[in-house]
Amino acid sequence: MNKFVIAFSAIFLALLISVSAEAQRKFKYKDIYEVILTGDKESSYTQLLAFQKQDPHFANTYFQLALIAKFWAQQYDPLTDFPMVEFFIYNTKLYLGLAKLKMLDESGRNREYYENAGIVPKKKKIQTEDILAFLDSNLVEIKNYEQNVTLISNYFNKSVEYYNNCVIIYKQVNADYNNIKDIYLGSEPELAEKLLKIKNDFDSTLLFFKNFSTAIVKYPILNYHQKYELKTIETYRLDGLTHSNFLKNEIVLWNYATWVNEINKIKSSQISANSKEISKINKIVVENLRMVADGNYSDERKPFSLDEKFIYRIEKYDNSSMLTELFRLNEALINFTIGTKSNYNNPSIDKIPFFKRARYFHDLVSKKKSVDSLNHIFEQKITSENIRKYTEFYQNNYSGRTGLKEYSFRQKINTESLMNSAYQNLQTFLFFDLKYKLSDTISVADKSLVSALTVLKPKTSFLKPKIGYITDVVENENKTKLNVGYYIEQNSQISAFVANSDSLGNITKIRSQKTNSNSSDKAVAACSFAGGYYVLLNSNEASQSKNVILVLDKSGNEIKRIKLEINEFPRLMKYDEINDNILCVFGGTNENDQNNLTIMNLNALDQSIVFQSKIAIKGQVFEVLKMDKNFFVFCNFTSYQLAEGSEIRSQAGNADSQTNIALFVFDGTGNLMQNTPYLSTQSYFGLKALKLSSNKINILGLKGEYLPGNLSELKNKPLFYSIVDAKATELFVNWHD
Amino acid sequence: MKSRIVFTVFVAIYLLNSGTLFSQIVKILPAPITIPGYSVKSPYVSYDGQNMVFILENKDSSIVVESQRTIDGVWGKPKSITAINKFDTKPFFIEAPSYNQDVTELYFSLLYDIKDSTADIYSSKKIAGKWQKPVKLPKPINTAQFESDPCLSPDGKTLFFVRNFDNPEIKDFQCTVIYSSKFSDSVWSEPKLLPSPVNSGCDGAPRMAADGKTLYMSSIREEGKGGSDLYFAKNITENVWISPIAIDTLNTEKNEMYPSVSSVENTICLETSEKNRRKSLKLAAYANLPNKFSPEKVVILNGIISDKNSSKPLPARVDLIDPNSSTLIYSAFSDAFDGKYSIVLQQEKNYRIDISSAGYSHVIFDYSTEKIKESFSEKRDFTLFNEVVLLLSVFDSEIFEPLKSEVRIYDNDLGNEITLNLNETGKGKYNLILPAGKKYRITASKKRFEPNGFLLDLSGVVQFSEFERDIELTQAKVDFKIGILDSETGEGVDVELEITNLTTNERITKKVKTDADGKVTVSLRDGDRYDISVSPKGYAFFNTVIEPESEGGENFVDLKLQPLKQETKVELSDITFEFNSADLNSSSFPELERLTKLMQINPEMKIEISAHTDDVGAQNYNLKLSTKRAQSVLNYLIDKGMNAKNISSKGYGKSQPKYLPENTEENRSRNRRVEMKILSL
Repeated sequence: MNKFVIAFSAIFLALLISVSAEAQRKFKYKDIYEVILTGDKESSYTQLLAFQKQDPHFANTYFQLALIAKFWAQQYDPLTDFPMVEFFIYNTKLYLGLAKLKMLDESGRNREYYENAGIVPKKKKIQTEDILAFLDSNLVEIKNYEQNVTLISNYFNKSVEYYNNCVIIYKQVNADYNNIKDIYLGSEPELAEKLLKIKNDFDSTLLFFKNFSTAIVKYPILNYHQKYELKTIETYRLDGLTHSNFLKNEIVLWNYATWVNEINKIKSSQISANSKEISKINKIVVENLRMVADGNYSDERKPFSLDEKFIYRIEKYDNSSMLTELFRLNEALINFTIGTKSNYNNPSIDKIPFFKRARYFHDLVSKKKSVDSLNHIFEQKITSENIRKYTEFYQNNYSGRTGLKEYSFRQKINTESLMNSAYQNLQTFLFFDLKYKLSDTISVADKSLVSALTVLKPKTSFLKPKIGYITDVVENENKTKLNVGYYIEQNSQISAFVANSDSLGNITKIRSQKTNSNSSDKAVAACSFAGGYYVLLNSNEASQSKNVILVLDKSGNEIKRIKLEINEFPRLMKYDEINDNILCVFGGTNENDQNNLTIMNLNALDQSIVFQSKIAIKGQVFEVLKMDKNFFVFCNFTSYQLAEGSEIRSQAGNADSQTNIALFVFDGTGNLMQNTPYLSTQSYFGLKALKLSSNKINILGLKGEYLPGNLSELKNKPLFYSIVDAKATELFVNWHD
Repeated sequence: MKSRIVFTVFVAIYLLNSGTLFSQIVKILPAPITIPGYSVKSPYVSYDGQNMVFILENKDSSIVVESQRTIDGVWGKPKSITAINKFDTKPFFIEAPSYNQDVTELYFSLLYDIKDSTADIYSSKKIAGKWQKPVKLPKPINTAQFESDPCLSPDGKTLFFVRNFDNPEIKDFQCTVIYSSKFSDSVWSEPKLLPSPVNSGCDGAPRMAADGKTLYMSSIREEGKGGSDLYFAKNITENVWISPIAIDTLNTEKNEMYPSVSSVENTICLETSEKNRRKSLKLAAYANLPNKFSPEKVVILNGIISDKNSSKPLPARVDLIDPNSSTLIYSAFSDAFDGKYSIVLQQEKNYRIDISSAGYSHVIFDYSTEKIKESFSEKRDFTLFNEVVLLLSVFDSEIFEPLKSEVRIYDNDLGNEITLNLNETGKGKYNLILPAGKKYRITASKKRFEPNGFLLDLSGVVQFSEFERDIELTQAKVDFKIGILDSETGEGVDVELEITNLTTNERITKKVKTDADGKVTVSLRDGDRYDISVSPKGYAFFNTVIEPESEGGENFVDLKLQPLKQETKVELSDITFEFNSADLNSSSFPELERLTKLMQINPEMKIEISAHTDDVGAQNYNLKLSTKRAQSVLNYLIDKGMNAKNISSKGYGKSQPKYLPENTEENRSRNRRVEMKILSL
C-alpha cells in the first residue's frame, strides 16, 4: 500500500511539474542575437528573459539585458516614472553583476556576442578583461546616475508630496469651516494644528523645490527647468483647492504660508483685541445688571448704552452674530431694569402727577418690548455653530449652550415678573388718581369735608356710609382744591355742593347748590380757568333734567351761570384754556341710563355752541382728548350704531357690563371722522386716557365686567394697558384674546 | 502491487493526454445567448461583466448583437446593433467585436467578402444610448491587408489587433499575428508587432484585461493541446513582456478562442468550436478563472453624473490623474443621455479623480487602490452645479459700520456690466447668484467713499457653491473750519467742542485752541451730518448742524458765542410745540437739555423764558398761548431739578416780532420762537 501511495504521489508530482502552464519553446541564442542586432529592444529583452530561464548560466544574456536595462533606465522620466527608472537601474546592476560572474565561468567563449556593445579592446579582439572593464565602467555609470536621479527624484517628490499635503489639509479646513471668518474666530486646537501643518508643509515644499532646482542645474534631466510663481488665496473656498502640476516649467503654487500668516495676524491682533474687549464689556454689563437689579428706586441712574462701534467690530468677523444679540439684550435689560427702579414706579411715592407716570410707563413698556424682541432673536441664535465662534467666552461666562438657553429663559421670566409688578403699581397709582371717581362714597377719612357737610346737612350722625359723593376735584398750583359733588339729605333729597379746601386739605368754604326744594342736584364735574372755576351742575325734577355751568371765582363765589339747552345727564367736562372752549359730554336721561351720548363744544366767552354732535351708543364715555385739531372721545360700549345704519357690538357679550372700548374722532366742527372699536371676546373697560405725545395715547382700564360702585372688587381686576396712535391704530396692548 | 502501479501510471497518462487532468469545467452560455442553429462567435464581455457583444451567425446571416445582465444577473435577450448591421447596403461581415473600458465604443473588423483577404477595423460610438454609424479607423491602422480582432486598452491609448500571417507550419488555419499601435495627439502610431514569444506565428484575438497589463489571446503553438488555445502574456513595463502562459485548465483539443475576462466576476468568456472552425458551430462559453491566470485586481468606479438643481444627466469629463505628478492618466466621459460614466482603476495605485462639465463645478477627490484584495465595482454618483452664491458685505473701513452701497457686477473679460439679481439681505449685505464659468469684477461704491472691488474668477475649478467676501470702503474726509468767536469782541474762544456725528451716532469731545483768526480745523467725514455743540463757561451754549461736503460745500461755520451777561437774549431755536398747544414736541428735548446744562453750570443765573407767536390770530389768544408755552418750558426745567426761583416765564404773544417783515411764512415761522433772557448772573 505504501509503495502504491508513494508511486502514485511521485507520478502525480511529476505530472504536476510537467504540466507546466508555460508555453516554453527552445530558443537559440544566435536567433536572439539577431534580434538584438535589429535594435528592437522590446523583443530582445523579452526573448533574453525567456532564454535566461532556458539557460541561466549564459553570461551574454545578462550582458545584453544589462545594456537594454541601462538604456531604459535613462529613457524613463525619473520625475514621472521613477519606479521604472529604479526598476531598470536595479536590473542593470543585477545583470551587470551576473554578467561579470558568469563571464568568469565562460573562459573566453562566446566573445562574438559582445561586439554590439562598442567595447574597445586593448588588443585586437575583445578579451574577457575588456568586457570586465566595460562592465565595471557601466556599473560606475549606472551608480552615478542612480545617485543623482534618486536625489533629484526625492527632492522633487518631497516637494510635490508636501504641497499635496497642504492642499489636502487646506481642503479639510474648507470642509470644516464654511467661511473664513469662522476660522478667524475658531479656537479649536485641531484648527491651530492644521494651520501650522499647512504652513510648515508649504515651507517644506519650497525648501525641497529649491533643493530640486539646485540639483537639476548640476545634473539636468530631460528639459526640466521648473520655476514657480506664488498665487494669493483671495477667495476662501474658491482659491487654493487645486493641486499644481510640478512637471510644467512654470508652476503656480497657492501661497498657503501667506494665507496662514494673514489668519494668524488677524487672530493675534483684531480677534484677540476683540476678545479682550468682549470680556471687558461683558463684565461691565453683568456688573451693571447686578447693581441695578439690587439697587433702590432712583432716578439718578443714566441709561446704559453700548458703543455702536464695538458692535461693528464684532460683526465685522461675525455676521448676524449671536454675541451682539446677547450684548444688545443685556443692554436692553439694564435699561429696562433701570426703568423699573425709577421713582415713578415706586409705590411709596404718591405725589407724582399721574400723566408723568403714564409717560414713564409708556417708556417702560417700550423698553420691555425691546427686551422681549431681542431675547427672542438671541434665543433663536443659540446654535452650536454660533457658540463655536466664542467657545471660551460662552463657557466661562454663561456655562455654554445650556447655560445660554437658561439665561434667555430666566431673563424672560424675570422681565415678565418685573413688568407685572410695574403694572400692579400702575394700577395702584391709577386708583389713587381716580379715587374720587371710583369711590362709592365720601371717605370718612375726609374728616374736614364730612364736618363741613355736617353743617350743610340737617343734624344727623354722619358716621353712616353713603352720605354723599365727590364727583370731581380740581387742584390748583398752590395745592388748594375745589371739591364738587353731591350729598344726600335725611329726606333722601340730593343736593350739590362745592367746597374749597386749602393746601392741607382743610375745607375753607362749602356751599350747597339746589335749584329748588324738589329737585335732585348734582355737581358732576369741575375745571379751573384763569379766572376761577367752571362747575357742571345737573338738576333733575320730575324726570326732567336741566344742566347749567356755574362760573365761580377763585374763592368759589358764583360769577354767573351758563344755561345749557340739553336735558341729558352730564358725564364729563373739559376746558380748553387756549381756545376758551368748554367741552361737555352728556348721555342718557339719568345717571344710570347708558344710552346715547351728546358731545357739546361751547365757547366760554360768549356761550355760543361751537358744535354739538351725537353718538348712538349703549355705553359710557370715560375720556375726551384734544389731538391737534380733533377730539378723541373714548367710550366703554356694548353696542353703537353708525349713520349708515350698521351696528358695532361688543364681542364680550350683550349685557351692559360686558363692554369693549371704542374711540370716536370728531373734527373741530363736530363731524365724526372715524370710529374705531377695540374688540375682544373678553370684557374690559377703560377708566382713563392720556395724551403721551402728539402721536400717542395711553388707554388705561381693567379687564373684566364693568360693575361700578365696588372699589374693592375693582382692585382685583387686572390692569388693561394699551397705546394707540393719532390714527387710532393700536400699537401695543398688554393682553390679547 | 506492480499491477496497481502500472494501472495508476496508465490512468495518469490517459488523463494527461486527454487533458482532463487539472481541467476546468467550461459551461456553454445558455439561452438566450445560445440559440439553436446559430453560431455565437467571438463573444466579448465588458470588464464589469454586465455587457456582452458577439456575432450571431447562421447560414443566412451574420449580425453583431449585444446582451446585458438583467436585475437577476442572467443575460438578457440579445439585441441587434442596427446602426452597425445596417450601415451599408452592400453585404458585409462583422468580426471580433470588443468594447472599450466603459462600453461607449465598439471596435470590430468588417469585410465585404468572406473569401477576401482584406478586412478593416471600424469603431462605433454610443451617443445618447444609441450606437452610431461605424467609422473606419485611419491609416496606419488600416491598410490593404487584413486587419481584425481589435481591442483597446483600458486607458484608450493602445489598440491591439491582428494582421494576416502566412505560417507554413500551420495547416488549415489562416494565421495572424498581433500588433499594437499607440494613440497620441489624435494620431495612431505606426503599428508594431508584439515581440516574440508573445507572437509565435499564429496568434490572434488579443484582449487586454482591465488591469492594462494582462493580454489574453488565442494561439496555435507547438506545445498547445490542439487547435487554438488560450494564453495570456503580461506586459510588466511598457517595453517588457513576459512570455505567454497557456491557460491549460481551459485548453482542449478543440478551438478555444477570443478570450475576454470580467475582472469583477473573475470569469473568462470564450468561443469554443470543433477543430475545423470554419465548418463547425461556434459557441460562447464561460468559466471561473483560477487566480494564477487572473489579471491584477482593479476597481471599476461607475455611476451617474447629474445637474444638482435639475437632476438632469450631464455630459461630463472624468479625469484620472496621477496625484504625484498631476499628469493625466486618461479621461472618460459621461453620456449626456443618461449621465453614466465608468472608469477602471488599477491596483496598488493612488489616483486623483476630477469630474467636471463646461460651465459647472468640479468634484475632485483622491482614491487609493493600495489595499484592495479583490476586484470590485463601486457605484458613486455625483452632482455638479452651475451657479454659485456670493455673500457680500460692504462696510466702512474705519468703523466697520455696514454700508448700503451701489454694487455692480462686470464680466471681467468682456468689460460689460451684467444685470443680475442682487438681493439685499441687510444693511450693507448682499446676496448674488453668479453663473459658473466666468470671471467677474465686483465693485461697491457709495457717495463720498472711495469705490472698491475685487475679481472673482469662476472660470476655473469651482468646488463650493457659496462664497463670502467683504468690501471695505474708505470715506473721504473734509477739512472743516469752525470759527469759535466771541460775538461781541470777535476774538477766538478756546472751548471743548462736542462733535456728534448724527449719521453714525458717534460723539467726540475735543478741547480745541483756536488760531489767530479764531478758527479751528477738524477733519470730518464727507457727507455726514454733524452736530457741533459748545457750552463754554461764561457764554451761552451754541449748537449747529453741519454737513461737510467735498463737492461744492462751503465747509466752514462760525459759532458766535454770546457772553453771558445781564440782558443777554438767546434764542432757543429747537424748541417747538404741538399745534395750538403748549405741549412740547419731543424734538425740543436736546435743546432743553442744553439749557438745563447751562443752568447747572451757572447755578446762580436767573433767567426769563419767553415765548412768542406770529401775527396770525387774536392778540388775547396769542398771549394766552405764548404764556402757556413759556410755562411748559419752565415746568420742564423745574422737573429737571432747576431752582424755580431762578426761572420765570412770560408770554409775549405777537408783540415782539424779531423777523421782519412778517408777511412771509418763513419769518412767521421764525417768529414763533422761545427765548431765554439772562436777568442776572
